[in-house]
Amino acid sequence: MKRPLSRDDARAIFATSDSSLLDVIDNLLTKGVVVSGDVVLGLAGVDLIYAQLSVLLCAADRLHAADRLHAAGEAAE
Amino acid sequence: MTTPAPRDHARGSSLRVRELESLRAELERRVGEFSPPRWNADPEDVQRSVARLVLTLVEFLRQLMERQAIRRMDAGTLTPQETEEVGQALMRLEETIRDIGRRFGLAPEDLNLDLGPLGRLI
Amino acid sequence: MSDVYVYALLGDAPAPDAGAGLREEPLRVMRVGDLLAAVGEMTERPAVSEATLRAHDAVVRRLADTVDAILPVRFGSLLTESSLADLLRARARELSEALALVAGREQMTLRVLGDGPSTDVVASVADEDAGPGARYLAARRAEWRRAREAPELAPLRPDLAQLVRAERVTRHDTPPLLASVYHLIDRGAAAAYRAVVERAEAGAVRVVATGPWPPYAFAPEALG
Repeated sequence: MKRPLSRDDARAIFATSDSSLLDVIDNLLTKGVVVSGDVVLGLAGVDLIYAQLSVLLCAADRLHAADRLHAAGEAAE
Repeated sequence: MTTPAPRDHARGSSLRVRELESLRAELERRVGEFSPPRWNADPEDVQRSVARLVLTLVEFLRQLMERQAIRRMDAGTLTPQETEEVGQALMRLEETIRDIGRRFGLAPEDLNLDLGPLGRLI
Repeated sequence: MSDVYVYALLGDAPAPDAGAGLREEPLRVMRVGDLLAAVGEMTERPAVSEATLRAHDAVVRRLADTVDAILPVRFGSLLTESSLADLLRARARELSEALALVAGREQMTLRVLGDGPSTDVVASVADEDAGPGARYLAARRAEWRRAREAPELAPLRPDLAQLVRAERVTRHDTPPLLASVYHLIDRGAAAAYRAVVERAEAGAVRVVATGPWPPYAFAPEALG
């Protein structure tokens, strides 16, 4: 796996006074549908767990659906 | 969609220097790490790293629960007693998180997780 | 199987085809139930740079020109095809609803600028004999609402009302930047929208509009 860009390289885009680029950053990096989010957990500099949060995102949605069903059920009693 | 290329917003008012700087700073703050984020306990202070991760997750869950409680309050699916009890529980949970955080030298602003493309957790 | 890089969710298939992605990779359309995803095959995430961001935006704009309903996906979304399929199945209803909202529409972005906090404080409403828990919850509700509102736009509301189909607000409250407001308008209404914003006198605040953009801000919330 290629080493990810260093912090400084990527964050150079923030050193801009171009307002149209800021709008693009706002749209592309803080908005839009989120379909992936992964976290690597580790200790002592050693990567140990790779967690795919896209799985967690689905779970949260399913929980809400179940909760809504439960609430509807209670209201009907 | 007859979209002009992003650079052609010449007409109309545009942001002044101070305003641009403000927007730039806000975006820099909101956008998380670009590469897949790592949580790696600080070997010098493993306890604090663990406390920070745990409290951040609990605070995240607390906010999720709070939002759901408010939705149910609005929908009328909480009795007055439930509203009172859930409200008190959330209040105490918030105090508990703050107290435990204080013991580890963690301020409320410290309780956040950088989730890369997802941005910051809270 | 290599990973797929997702550009957008679509309501219908682009004609004649999906074209090329930000790395000139051929795009294809993945169908999962009633949802379509415009994807390109990639082995690693593109680096973040002005060039890649603008190229990704250009791909989304081109797709938006060929379809009626488009939900742009966040930059850097690389995942396995099966993970994407799982996610689209699990969130099918919410995503279909969002696609229906943005059909035939585009986004205008407003920056609300001024010196200080809004003087309108959203009052916390609770019964007089409510206990501390209920009052706490009412106060928290007022706080959540305040974070999603832009009372500074009140003077513009009458003229904007006929143009705005939906609104999303991100409060910053870091003067001079007070809030960003995203408005969903019918395609083609951008000039009329700009005219309203430019002739408006919003009192103590300045309002600057940019757009139109594909509807990035009208994706359903990621978490919770």
